Amino acid sequence: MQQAMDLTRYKGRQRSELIEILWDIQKSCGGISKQLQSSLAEQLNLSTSTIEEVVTFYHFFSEEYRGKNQIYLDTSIIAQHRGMKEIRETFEKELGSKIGGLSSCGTIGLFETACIGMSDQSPAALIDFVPFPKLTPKKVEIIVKELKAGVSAKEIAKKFGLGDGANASKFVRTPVCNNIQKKGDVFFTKWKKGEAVSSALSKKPNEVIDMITASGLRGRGGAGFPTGMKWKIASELSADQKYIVCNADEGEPGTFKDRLLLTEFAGLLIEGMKVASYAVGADKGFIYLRAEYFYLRDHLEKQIKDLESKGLLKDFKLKVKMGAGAYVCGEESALLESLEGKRGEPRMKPPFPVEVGLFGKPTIVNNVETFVLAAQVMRYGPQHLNKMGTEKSKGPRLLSISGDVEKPGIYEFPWGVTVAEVLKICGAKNPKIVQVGGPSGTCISKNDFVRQLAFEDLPTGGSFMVFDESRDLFEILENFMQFFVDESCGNCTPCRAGNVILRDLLKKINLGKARPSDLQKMIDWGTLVSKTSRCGLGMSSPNVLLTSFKSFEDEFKNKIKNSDELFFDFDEEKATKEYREFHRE
Amino acid sequence: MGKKVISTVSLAGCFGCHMSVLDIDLKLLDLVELVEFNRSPLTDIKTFTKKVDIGLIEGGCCNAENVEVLREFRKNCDILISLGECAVMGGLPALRNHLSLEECLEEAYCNVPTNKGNKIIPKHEDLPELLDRVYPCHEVVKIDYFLPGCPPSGDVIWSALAALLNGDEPKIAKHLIKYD
Repeated sequence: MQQAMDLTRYKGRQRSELIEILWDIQKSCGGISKQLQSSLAEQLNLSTSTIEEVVTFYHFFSEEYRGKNQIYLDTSIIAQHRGMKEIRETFEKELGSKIGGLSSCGTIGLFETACIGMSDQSPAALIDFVPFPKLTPKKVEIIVKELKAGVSAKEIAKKFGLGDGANASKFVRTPVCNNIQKKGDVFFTKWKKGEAVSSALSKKPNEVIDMITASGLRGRGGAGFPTGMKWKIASELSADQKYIVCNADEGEPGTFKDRLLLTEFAGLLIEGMKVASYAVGADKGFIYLRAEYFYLRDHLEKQIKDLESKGLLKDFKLKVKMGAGAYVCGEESALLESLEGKRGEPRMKPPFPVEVGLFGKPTIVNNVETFVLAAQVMRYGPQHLNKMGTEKSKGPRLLSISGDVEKPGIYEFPWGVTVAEVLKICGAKNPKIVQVGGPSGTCISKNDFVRQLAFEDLPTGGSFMVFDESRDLFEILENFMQFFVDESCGNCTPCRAGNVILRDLLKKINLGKARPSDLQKMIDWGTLVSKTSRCGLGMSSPNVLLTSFKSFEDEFKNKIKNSDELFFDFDEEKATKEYREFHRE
Repeated sequence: MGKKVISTVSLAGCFGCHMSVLDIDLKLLDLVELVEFNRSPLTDIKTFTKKVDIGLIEGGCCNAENVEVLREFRKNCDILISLGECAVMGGLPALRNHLSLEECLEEAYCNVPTNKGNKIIPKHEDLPELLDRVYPCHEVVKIDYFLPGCPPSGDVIWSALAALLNGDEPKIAKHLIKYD
């Protein structure tokens, strides 16, 4: 049963704190019922529908009771390939329930969610937001038994052995492993606390920006906007308030490199944000952390406190704010909406966040990796990045490699490395498909393994999924398109309806019911969706279909019916069965 | 050159599209110069008596008879056109697609306000069996052209027919199918 809760404690709180408040309620009551919504609305002096629209937007908020303990299984294609079906069935058996429902004892809810950033240690689940990687049916049995006995997820996790590095530290304590497979000399240097900040503070703000520009650093979230230029624009605007925001909403399936950075390089990240704040003249900052990484919040807050106590964050107030389950919030303007306590729906651009951002003020939004690199530029100088990579893509790129490889995990490569080199180093056997940059990226076949990872050829936000000869292309594509259907915020029609149409066309092709005109239809719809959607989600969601069609044209064409057919295999017997059965009763 | 032959039928439709065919007004006079109508409610010819050039289908398929008639049309017509929303996408009848057949029949025969308390849902071998949902025509047979609208306006129908009779690809001007 959903718990009651006294909400008067929230009286007079700001709208921008809404998501934190909703997290409070969701966690203590197991859900945010209509009744709780309306009493909260009263306390905050907002309309009930304002609360409702936010609650129903985020995957981890629910109106119905989701149990005292909440289990979320990773539905990413990597998890499916690693035996998630068996894990799910074991959970269902042990709990006596189905996905989306409560256990027979009524206190444990079982749900599914998109990639939780554990593709290198799949199959994984979040239990009360503690990650449980490398699940086996045996482990599942133990977990359920312990949960039923009232043991907390954190305690259970400890029994499976803590991970390496900071994963075992007092403020994290989870079984997550870092899986660093290939160290380079940009990220993996020893951090000397305060080095980046003091280097920056010894220079003028515009000199700091010049250094970033000279390093050739481009945004690491995927779009690759030149970081120096972004900072320069923000520094030149005059405003009473500017903000620095770190996008730690690492939602692209198959990406988990920010997980590593947040775990092992949090100090550098924070220093990078401080450097940015000094360069552009901002005194407030936020780390927007995806809900799937809840387990890293205490760790991040501890790191902030540490640096604060050393006086390194003077004149810069930094806070960690949580997401609540929405891929689209990785889009910078949606992220800002979410920080303001609203639905994470992308804004119209322009104006860009750098001009009109958080609360309408100039705002720098950069990826975790970008800030870490900015800090390294301060420590080692711009040529440290500039000397490696290609003409338009300077420096290193952290890759999150998962799928059918011997050594899944984190790799540091210079930009410009070819797909073939990466495949060799990570130990891919018989690779057939490589998905570069996650579902919103590019799907390539053997013919393209000579290509380079670089903004001028194959751009990537870090996700690198490998599938061998045994994998079914269409199963992978359906998983990706379903992801976009689930994650579209629904604001603009091309993305909301278009992704459903694309998914259904794909299903039709996979069922062998499509005709040649359907392939053209898929291309036409894909082009339309990418050209007319409001934000990056819809602009890039058709990529995987359009590029896989180019790479695997024969596989698509083999699925297509003969075009001369006039009569389709409409199963009249099946279509009239319900009617006959109805009258038989 | 002999006259081209046209056939029409209304499956799970409301005859609104047929009314729209009549709405081509004075051009009907041109049309009858160019074509003859074979199987069609307009002529009351019930079975095909010759090979047909163009078949116009109004409505989607909601029962087994619709499927049979549609297949008949495909067999006898060189070009088949889905005429109007119901043929193209199922239209209004397809609103029942998210309900079970049982719910539908009970609502229609037992719970309807004008016949409250009735418990009989008709069943007879002469009544065609209902399909589990309403299907657009192109899920059953190949459809060559789709004319959108509820109903498509007389101008849309005329411009498509005129192009086909001329041996051209029908192209509908945007303003004819822009509804907002």
